[in-house]
Amino acid sequence: MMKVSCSQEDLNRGLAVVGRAVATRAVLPITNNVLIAAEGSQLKLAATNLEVAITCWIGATIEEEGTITIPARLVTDFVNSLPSGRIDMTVAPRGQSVELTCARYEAHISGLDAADFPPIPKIDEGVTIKVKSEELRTAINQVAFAAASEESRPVLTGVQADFDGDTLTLAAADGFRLAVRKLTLDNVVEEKVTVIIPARSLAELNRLITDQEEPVELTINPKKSQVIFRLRNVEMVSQLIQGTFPNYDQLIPQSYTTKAVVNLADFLRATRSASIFARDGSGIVRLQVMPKDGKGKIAISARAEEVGDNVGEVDATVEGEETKIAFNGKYLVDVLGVLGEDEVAFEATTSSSPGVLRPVGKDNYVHVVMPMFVQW
Amino acid sequence: MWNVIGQPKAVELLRHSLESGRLAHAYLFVGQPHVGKATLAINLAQALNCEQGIEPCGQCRSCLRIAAGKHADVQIIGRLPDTGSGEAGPKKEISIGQIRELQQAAGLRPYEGKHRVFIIDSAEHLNEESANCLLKTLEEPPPEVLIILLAANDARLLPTIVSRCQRVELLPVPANTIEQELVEHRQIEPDKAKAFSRLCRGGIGWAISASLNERLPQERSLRLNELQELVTTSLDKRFDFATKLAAQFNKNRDSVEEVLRLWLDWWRDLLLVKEGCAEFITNVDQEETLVQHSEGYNVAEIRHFIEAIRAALEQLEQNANPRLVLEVLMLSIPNREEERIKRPSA
Repeated sequence: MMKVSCSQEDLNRGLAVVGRAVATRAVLPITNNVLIAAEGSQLKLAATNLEVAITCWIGATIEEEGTITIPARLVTDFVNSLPSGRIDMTVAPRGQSVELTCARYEAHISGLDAADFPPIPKIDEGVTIKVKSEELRTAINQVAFAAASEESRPVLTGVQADFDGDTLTLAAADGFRLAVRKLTLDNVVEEKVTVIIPARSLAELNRLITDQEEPVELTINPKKSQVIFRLRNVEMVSQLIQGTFPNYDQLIPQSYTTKAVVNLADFLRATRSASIFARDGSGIVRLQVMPKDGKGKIAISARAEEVGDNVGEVDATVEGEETKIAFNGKYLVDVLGVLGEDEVAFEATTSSSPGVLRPVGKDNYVHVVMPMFVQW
Repeated sequence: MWNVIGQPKAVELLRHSLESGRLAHAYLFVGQPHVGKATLAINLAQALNCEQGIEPCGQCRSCLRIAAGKHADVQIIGRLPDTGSGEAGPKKEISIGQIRELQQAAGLRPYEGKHRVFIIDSAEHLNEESANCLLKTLEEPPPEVLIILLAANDARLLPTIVSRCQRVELLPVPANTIEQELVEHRQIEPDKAKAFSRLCRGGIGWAISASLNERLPQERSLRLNELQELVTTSLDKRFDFATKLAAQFNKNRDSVEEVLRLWLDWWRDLLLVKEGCAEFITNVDQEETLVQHSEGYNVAEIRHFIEAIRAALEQLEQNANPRLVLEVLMLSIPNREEERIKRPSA
């Protein structure tokens, strides 16, 4: 039994939020469904693909409490097609289908027993922190892309989150690049905690916090198997990845022989245009850093056999020696696209040692890219 | 409670490993179809996730959800249903995509239980690509992950797969054990129980489903009638039958193998009856017919046809043209004595 009414706008938004967690190819068929529960004064929507679970609460008038699961795609598409206005949902006693009415539309949707739905994890205890949502969003943007997308080492598909005092360090690596971002928490954690969160879950979180101003609350359960992110009216639980993240500190070069400070927008433009030629030449983009009386420039070039070549130059403040180094253009474009400062510092040692990029004026981010070996 | 029947050795081994906390990271359960491999695997998954202790209690929420196939951390991976070709029946192989999904899920901590358990049903159906993909995970699964492979014939697995698992062999369940189980725990009439326990050839699962489901015994009598008709019918009809069976083979290999195994049992029984060893026969409910039929053949004929069936099975396994194999088999069906008498002498 369930009898509830809510607005089409709220239900539509709620379904869109939890829809991101609905399983696409399900091991458990019921995970293709969305859980609808009328409890207290709110309507709870929940979905899980067993990696991420999203719960969303929307305002509703509840006449009879109750719960059921119905196919997510179907109900989402249907509700989306309805005119705005009031929606009434009814489940008959012991019924396994929902009757949904809105204005002059009516539908019956068959569902499955909510008792069979995988339990949406509740995390009440464990290490809890608060972090500004804007800060978290930027940090995820700067790190998550560096994680491996499909990898025989599952730990690399995740982002390591290291909580220590009032600092959270996020790090991701895929074997060719490494991104490390530090951010300040709103509170202090008592014990040091390190977990690996799937990069996909964080990308999902980023979509959820786009229009949130309040801080995000995050709790890691005592077993360190799950993390919950609490937002306004929405909760997201992600399974954590097991394993040990590589010790990345030793991968960040401690010194350099050449350092160039460049305007970020210029650098990005020159790298993008070189990448066009690099498409046909294994993605190789060549950087030539040339110092000249305390000033200098970087020439960014690419060439592909039988296609052609290009070169672009940007002004730079160069310290140290002249150097030549080549990278995969995609990696450079990726990192330059998320730095978000006016200037970037590029550091290199030899053409076979990793290059380092840092935003100028902030010391909370470092990005390391492995070079490519080329004949000059 | 371990509810797999007639496998004391395997259960003892697993129980001991659980108690001493020294479970292998991957198991290979080998045994003929319906012998209880999946039941044992599910039991082990229950034991690992049970809320009560290290024995599968079968009562707690976790055990019930695993038994019902609803537990988020216990997955059974088998051939997917074939939706592409428009024919009923599963795909031919377990794809690499399924294995990659397994690996991805294995990287995550358990969702609701204590361990993630992946049961790969009919591991023979792993193709070379997916088997190789599985190797790394199989060798070193993440902690809290157990992989259980089920196979009827481990000779058809890559040796690299077999060597990475602890092999547990499940022997055919003795007919008496099955009969006892059916009568005592499943309230089956003794006559039926006796018949099913012999017919299942040690595969207790078949006996249990046959006792629950009328269709299986009915299908069997249908097949036996078919067989009895074939021995007296003309060559044309036999060839028609071969064509039909060959078409069925292309859709569902296993069902044809099933038919031939049934024939093998039948002719083995004829031989036993002929030699006066009727107490060992499989088709206990057909003893009279068997006696009657056995009079029509001599021992050499029966033996010859048994060999022909075995050869046919082997050739089908080796991907010979099914229609040719079955036609050759039809040609080898011996004629019964009375037919020969009736036929005008040439």
